[in-house]
Amino acid sequence: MKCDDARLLMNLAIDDEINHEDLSQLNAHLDHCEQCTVEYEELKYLKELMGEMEMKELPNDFEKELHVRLLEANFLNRRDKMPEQKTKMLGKLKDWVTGHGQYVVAAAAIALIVLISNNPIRLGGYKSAESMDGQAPLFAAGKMEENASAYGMDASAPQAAEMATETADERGIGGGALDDKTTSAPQEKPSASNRAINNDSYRTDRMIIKSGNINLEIVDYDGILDDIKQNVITWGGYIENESTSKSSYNARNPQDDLKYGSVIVRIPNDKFEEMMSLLKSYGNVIYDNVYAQDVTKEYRDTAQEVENLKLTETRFRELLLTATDMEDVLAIENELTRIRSQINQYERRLKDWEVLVDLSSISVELNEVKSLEPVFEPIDDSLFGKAKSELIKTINNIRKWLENIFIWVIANSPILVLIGIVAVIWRIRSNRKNKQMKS
Amino acid sequence: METKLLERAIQGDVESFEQLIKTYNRYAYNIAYRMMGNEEDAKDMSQEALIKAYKSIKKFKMESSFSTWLYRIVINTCKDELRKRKEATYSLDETFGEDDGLKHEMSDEQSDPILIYEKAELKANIESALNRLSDDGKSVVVLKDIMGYSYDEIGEILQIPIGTVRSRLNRSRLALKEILRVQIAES
Repeated sequence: MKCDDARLLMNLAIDDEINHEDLSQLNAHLDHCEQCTVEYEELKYLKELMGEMEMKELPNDFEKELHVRLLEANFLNRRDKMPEQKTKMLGKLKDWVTGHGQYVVAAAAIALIVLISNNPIRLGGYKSAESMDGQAPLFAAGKMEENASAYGMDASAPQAAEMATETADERGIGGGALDDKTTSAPQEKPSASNRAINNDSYRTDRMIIKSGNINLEIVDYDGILDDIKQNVITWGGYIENESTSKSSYNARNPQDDLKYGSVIVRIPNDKFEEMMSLLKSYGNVIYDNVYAQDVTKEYRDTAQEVENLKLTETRFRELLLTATDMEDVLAIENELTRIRSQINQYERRLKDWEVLVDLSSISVELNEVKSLEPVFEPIDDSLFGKAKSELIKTINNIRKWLENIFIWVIANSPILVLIGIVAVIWRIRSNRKNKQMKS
Repeated sequence: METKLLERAIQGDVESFEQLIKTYNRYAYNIAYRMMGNEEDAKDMSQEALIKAYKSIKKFKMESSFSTWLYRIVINTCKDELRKRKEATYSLDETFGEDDGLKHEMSDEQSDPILIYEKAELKANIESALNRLSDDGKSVVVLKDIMGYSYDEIGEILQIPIGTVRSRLNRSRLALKEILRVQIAES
């Protein structure tokens, strides 16, 4: 065997792809060829070294970036497949546009301004809501209205406040966009991308939605309900729902009209425990439970999704600036609108979670009783008393049994009548037969 | 599971495609890293390859495994890019191929086997040595020694006959060994 052939076999040997025959030939060669033996060892060593080379970790933003690029590819792909008719129409438009060259620039500028003044607003809206959140929880807006009505306001109050800030922002940005227009288009680009990047405003702590249920027996219904309302309001919460009814189950003393009802209170997260123990102190706790739902993961995933979408949005906006075709501009705008609505949807979800986390809800059920002390029924222990009650029971049972039989007979009467008729006919026939036999 | 995702990816669903490639991302990146020799290019090329895969997923035939198909795209993308770069830089002096230089050096230094060097020293040099290998050579060595594929599988990924896999591997390993030797001797 030549050394060259041996070298080929060596590779097979170190890769475990050699058969027995070749292996023994190789070994025979190696036994008397020193150079090849060294080389064989070297190859083995090399392979070992290669195997110890470390796998690189994926860069942090790899998947995020890939996601954006994939969406872009997907978009371009779809655009290419736009129906012929549409392109024809666009073609006509293009002809017109080239005929009226000076308008093209104007149209593009207007499209840009519309987009920029419409889209980044929500980013701004989100930010300002967040900052408000920093100094006082979201329901600060709710608190302002507490004088008007102690309860009955719902979660729409904070939302209304958010809308107000949003419109304020809109005005600000609208003005800014106008300024940009007077200078030059490229300046808008950095402002747009800055906005998109400026969004470390998501919460990083654990997101836990707490809720509680409690069922109470109390003595003074109205007093306690007022007390609960008072406390909820001073702690910065609100009453979401309240209902009260009179119960007439107390048949013995109809003059005492006992009440029962339920209240759902929304209370700042940090006051939750305090509220629960306060509620427990009002009366007998019949039932209580506390439930905590951890939405951290969902929250972060959604936030991540929003981030990704924003990145995509920025990319598209950059694309829009470079796009020269009317057709492209329209297609990109479509895509931007779609992405925007998706971002809004996710952000709304995030906001909802934040409100739920900030404001725990406790559902309280109140049952008014005459006294919190346990009531003892007088016990008639005498033998006669027992016998009497047993006798009454027996008589009642007999009565019930007879009743049942009566009901059964009435209920099945059609069938019984039928059976009776059949029995009579059969009887008459057998009588006749007997007579015939005798005669 | 994979076929379901594949079906949806073929219909153009980006998320399904991402799910599908999730397990292969890191390998794709590592293959690209060994082919290109630096992290930045590796990221660019592996992403480009994955996007190519997404665009042409309709062409994926079930007859080979998905990973095989994917890695083929990664390797081809890297090779295309390397070729482009070479054409841009070496178009005037093509005769300076790496093999010529290598042979010259080989005849010069027919001496110490690499066995005598410290492992740490070799490890420090092996990456740059790998980078100096030809593109075809790199791809077989990476698939065999780093990814651990069999000759058959390598043949399938690179779409070359198994005999070619063997001879290429043989040549590349010898070259790698020599490059390593020269590199260490120089340093």
